[in-house]
Parts: sequence; structure tokens; C-alpha cells
Amino acid sequence: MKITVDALGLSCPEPVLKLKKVIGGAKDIELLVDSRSCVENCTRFAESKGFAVSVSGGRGQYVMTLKKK
Amino acid sequence: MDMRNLKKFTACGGCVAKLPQGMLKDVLTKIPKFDDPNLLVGFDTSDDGAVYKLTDDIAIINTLDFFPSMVNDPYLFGLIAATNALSDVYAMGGSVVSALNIVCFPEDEDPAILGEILRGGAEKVLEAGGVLCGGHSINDEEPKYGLSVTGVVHPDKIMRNNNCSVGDKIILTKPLGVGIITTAYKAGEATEESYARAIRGMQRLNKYAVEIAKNYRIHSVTDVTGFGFLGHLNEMVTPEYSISVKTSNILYIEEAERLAAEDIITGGGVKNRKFLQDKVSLRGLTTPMEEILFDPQTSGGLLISVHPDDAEELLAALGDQDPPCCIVGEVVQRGEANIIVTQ
Repeated sequence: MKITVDALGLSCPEPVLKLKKVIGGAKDIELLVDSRSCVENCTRFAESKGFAVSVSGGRGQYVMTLKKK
Repeated sequence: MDMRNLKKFTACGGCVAKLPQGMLKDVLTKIPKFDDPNLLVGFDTSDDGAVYKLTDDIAIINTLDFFPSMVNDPYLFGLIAATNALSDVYAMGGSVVSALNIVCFPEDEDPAILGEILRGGAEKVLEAGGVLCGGHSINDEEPKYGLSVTGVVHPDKIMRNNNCSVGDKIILTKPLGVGIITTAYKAGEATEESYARAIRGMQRLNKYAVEIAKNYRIHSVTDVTGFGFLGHLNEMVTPEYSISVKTSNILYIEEAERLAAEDIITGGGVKNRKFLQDKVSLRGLTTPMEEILFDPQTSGGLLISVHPDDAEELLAALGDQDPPCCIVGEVVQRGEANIIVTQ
């Protein structure tokens, strides 16, 4: 089951903290963030937890797709 | 009194909220150049404050800083924001003369909160020996506060940020990790003890350290704020020399390391890393330690470049300071990177 985490309007590290709450049992996560630095921060965190990360969208709204490897 | 209930209360306050360094550098190349022989320190060297010579004996230092809060207590916010704004005058080797308030506050919120912010700010100006003489306020959803500060310095005694000599030791006067700790604390992830240490450092005027340092052969001074330890150290470097850093000597709030290991770092830290990655050579550091070096500091300490023979003595003289100081590295012959960091 896909989990969606809406972290729009939040600055780092809040998106990482939101992601941290759900990442434990999840395999498929869609994460919405609005800044490039959040994308980078969350990518690193997700990869360290064994997820493959792809990013679409652009300025103002990035859609990050996280899949457990 | 607590600011958490305000409509818009940022998660990333303090110097964490700065615009990226690279963006500023690009933008500034597009504005007209000012050629005035009396402007002794301007944009060009990314120094702490602007210095303008009035007479052969007096130059004025102009600087301003303001930001959203990184703490919940408005009085504490006032203290920290003012300490941070006043710091640039000390980093230029000057003393504070006067200050003006810069205020953004929502008009439909409790004016008592604003009163507490301004009380904190005014107390710090008083402690700095300056006069608070006015200000300007704007209706804004998100509270922001700071000061525009005027200082004075003798034109021959300006403390630039990039006048180091090879062999100098670099002293840091407050522990790092403040950005990570204050941001994590807001999210309930940092302990009261770490938070208390961060708060103690942020409200300590850099005046005290610089007053002691002036008795020694110091060559350059800057303060550590939003661009982090490495960002501000990088501004001390010129094409003539590099700076070598040993992380084992650096003081930081220990819990920041644990938090960084869990990727609890600030957006500002990510921006700092991006700007600096091709300017610094990080050799064999753990990722959390790297994050501490990139972490934006609010009202951070000074970086003092001091003659090597005076370094231990200066450190000892600074010894009874709270927060504690440390020797973090030295100025070396020009190497392949601006800054070389080892464990």
C-alpha cells in the first residue's frame, strides 16, 4: 500500500521527521516537499533506510517516490 | 509567554533562514559598483560589516541582521537576535555606538509578545554599551526581529576577515551544533540540556572574547553564523593560503552528532554543503561530523586568526569564558583546496 506524506510548507528537518515516522513498515511512499534542500536531505535519509528514490516536479512542489529495495 | 501559537511560526529560524551564499554572490555581481575611497570594507570581501572612513581617526561600521525566531520564548528571541546583530561590529574590531530595531510582527497578535522581544533586544544593546534609538516595524504574518547597528573603529585597527598569516592558529569561541540542536529541539528531538547549552552560547556577546583577543597578535576575525563553520572559515581564505582544520579539537554540542546521524539536519546546512563542496577537502570524516561543520549557527562564536606564539596564551586567557573556546586549525601554505579538514 502506498503511503503519501505531505510535507509541503515545511522546512528541514521537519520533512525528514515526518518521513521517519512512517518509513519503518513502509515499502512504497510518495513524499511531497517544496524545496530542493528538502529533496536532498530526504533522499539521503531514505537511501540510508534502503529505499530507491526518484523525483519529479519542480520549484514549489517536488514529488518524491520512495520504493524499498 | 510562548510564540508557538502564532499563525506562522517558522521551523527554521535564526541564521538557518539565510539565503544561499552562492545565490547572493551571483546577484551582487549585477548591481552597480560604488567607488568611494573612504569605503574601507564593502561587499567585495564578504566581510562582517561595512566600514566607512569619516576622518583619519574614526571609521563607522554599519551592519544589520534580522531573522525569524528559533526559540519559543519571545524575550529569549530578542536577546539572541540582538546578540547576533551586534556581533558583526565586534568581528570588525569595533565598539557599538547605537542600534535601531527591525521588527516584523502580525498586527492581530498579542502586543505583549512583541514587547518581550523588544525588551530582550534592548537589554543586549545596553550590555553592549550602545544606545537603542529607534526602529521600524512592518505588519508581517511571521515575526522577525533584529537590529541595524552602528559601531566605530580606528581605521588602522579594522579587523578584516581575510588577513591571516601562514602559521597562524585559528581559535573558535563557541561550540558548534547550534542549528541542529535548536531545530531538533523544536521538533521534540533534542534534550533540554543540549538546548540549554545552545541558548547559553547564542546570548553571549562576542564583545567579551574580542576584548581579550585584542591584547594578542590577532590578524583576522570573523563570526560564525548562517553559512556555518566552514562557510565563514572559507571567507577567511585567500588565494595566498589555505586553512587546515583538525576536527578532534573542535568543540560542539555532542548531541548534534547523534541527531545528524539520524539525518536531522537543517535546510541551511544542505545549502552550505552545496556551496562549499568544491572548496573544501574533507578527509576521512564521518557524515555527522561533516554536518556539524556545515551547520548554520545563530549568533555563533568568533573565528580568530592569531600569531602561533600567542595562540596558547590567548586560549588560556579565554579559558574562563563560558562557552568554552578551542584551537581548531592553522593557516598553511596554499594547498589544492581552500580548507583541508582531517580527523
